[in-house]
Amino acid sequence: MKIIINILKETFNFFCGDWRIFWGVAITLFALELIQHIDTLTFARPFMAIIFLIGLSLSLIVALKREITK
Amino acid sequence: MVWSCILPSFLASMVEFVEALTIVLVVGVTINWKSSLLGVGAAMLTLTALIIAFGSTLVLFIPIEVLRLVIGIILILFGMQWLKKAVLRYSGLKALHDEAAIYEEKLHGLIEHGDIDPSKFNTFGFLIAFKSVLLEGLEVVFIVITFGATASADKVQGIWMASIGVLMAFIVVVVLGSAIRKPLTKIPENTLKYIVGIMLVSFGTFWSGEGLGIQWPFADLFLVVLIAFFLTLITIIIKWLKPYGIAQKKLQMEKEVSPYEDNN
Repeated sequence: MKIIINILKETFNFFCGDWRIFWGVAITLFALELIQHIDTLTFARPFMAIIFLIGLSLSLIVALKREITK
Repeated sequence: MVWSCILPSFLASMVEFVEALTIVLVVGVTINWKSSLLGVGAAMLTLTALIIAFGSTLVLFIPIEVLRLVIGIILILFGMQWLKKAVLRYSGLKALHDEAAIYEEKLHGLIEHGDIDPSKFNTFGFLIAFKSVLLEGLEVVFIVITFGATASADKVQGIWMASIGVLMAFIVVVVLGSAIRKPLTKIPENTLKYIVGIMLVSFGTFWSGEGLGIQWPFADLFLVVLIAFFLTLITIIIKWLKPYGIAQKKLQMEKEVSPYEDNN
């Protein structure tokens, strides 16, 4: 079990290494998928590109803000 | 988009090769060149096997649309990791990557390890060279496969193009490294990491955006807009973080001085 957790940890560190960036990107993608598939959110479709860029930027900013408070 | 395969692979490989070369040089100088070069050879064979295995799987079995979405997301995460490090270094919150200091540190570590016969094959030296080339090379392999398989409609040609970028970087680093036989401190590693980070995030955003159904204006030309956007964003972030970096340095200097003052 410990080996599997270590492998997963190493894989995560290799590809991302920061949970704030990971969750920021994941939430952004989830929001975009909702906009794409839920009819009541159709009005937001023209702004998908802007929402995507804001989500990515905020993910990086939040991760860096954490480094200041450390 | 040939340049989009070659350039990121070239720059990213250059960063990783410089890091790997530092360790290979230390092992070569302190233990012996035989162990060091055998470690490099074994790591390169492992990396080639990985490229063939994963590269061909991606090329043969996964459609380009799925590949672009998944790889786009991974590139964003991967690129942000590089960008975060570069931003922290530029703002002074993290020490700049100093190859010369790493070289000296490793050198002392190996000398302290002791009992080294320079004429015989040394397993310890072999393993250090193997591990460093393999770990640094894995990032290169990842970039070659992802950029190669997604940047061009012909995935095989894309991987070939990306490999050309890697080969060019390998030649540049090895020629410079063997000429001076010292760590390549002149190569601005942090700047390269910053540029590659911007490219990874921009391409990742573009491809995953397409996969999510976003229709970018001006098609492929929008990549330039994305690069400009992330460059501006990072410049603003560095400006925001710089005062914190200066404050941190001051605090460190005060801590270093205060014990001396106490003694007086």
